Amino acid sequence: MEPEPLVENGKINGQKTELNIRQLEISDHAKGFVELLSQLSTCPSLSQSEFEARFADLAALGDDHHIAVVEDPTLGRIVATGSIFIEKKFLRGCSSVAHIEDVVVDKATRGAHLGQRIINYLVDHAKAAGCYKVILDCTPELRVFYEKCGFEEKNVQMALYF
Amino acid sequence: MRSIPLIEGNLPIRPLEISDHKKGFVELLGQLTVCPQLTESEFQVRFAEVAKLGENHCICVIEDPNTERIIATGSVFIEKKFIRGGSKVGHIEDVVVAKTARGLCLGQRMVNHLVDHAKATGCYKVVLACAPELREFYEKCGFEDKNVQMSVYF
Repeated sequence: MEPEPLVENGKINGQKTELNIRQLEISDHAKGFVELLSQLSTCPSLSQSEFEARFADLAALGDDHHIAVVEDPTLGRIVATGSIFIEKKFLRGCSSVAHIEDVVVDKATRGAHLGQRIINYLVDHAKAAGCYKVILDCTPELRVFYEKCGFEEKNVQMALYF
Repeated sequence: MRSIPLIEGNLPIRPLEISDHKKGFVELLGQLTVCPQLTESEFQVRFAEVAKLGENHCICVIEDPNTERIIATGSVFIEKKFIRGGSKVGHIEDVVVAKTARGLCLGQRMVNHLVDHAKATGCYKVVLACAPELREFYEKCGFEDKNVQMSVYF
């Protein structure tokens, strides 16, 4: 069995590996994208065609729904992801608000600041899209992490499950 | 002295229409937050952008037939996810009831309407963010305190 990669000081197994952020692609289905999401929430497997259908739904929204991933090229696996969607409003002179969702970094790849890099990337996307703010919801324990990314606590999130 | 007709408590909730620009829709939003006037064409452009999303972005209003003014509004948009087997989540935003129309449960009716829309489109949950003072109102609508909302302004 292969040992788990040792991530230290931005290097994987002692070697500096480029961990670039890019947009989700169809081929990421075969690179463990859905499995990574299951580290965040209940995430049953999706068949290739289920994945493609959802991918197409989101691609139809263009820049208004952007899913970012980081692939570890040594493993051919997705090790981090986060998404942002742009909501168009009438208030504030027809403004737009960006919503960050589903941010997760692979447990085995933590320590390379991938979470903060993904957040910064998504925030830049929102700014480039002309949003006046970016919002997200998180558990109280993650407050400190998001404060490091420049966010501040604003409101309470409430939910109703069906 | 002409008596002012009371607003009925069971006014219909309907989708936003182009003509609502003339019925004070933008002014009503101004009771929620900063909301500069929009020209007719700015309103129409935004209306068309939202309409393109169909059932995935639903803005609803309540009109007072006596004044032909919009007295309540709320919106819900449907976010498609990969998690939970390709699920959907409803996000409620921009709920406001005119100051002159409070006490008629219009807010609760509006929120229930938006929740029903989310359920009908297959969402597994509806989320919203609110100031802590509104926690009790949304609990009455069936919501529970879940997480913290964080934001960054440009």
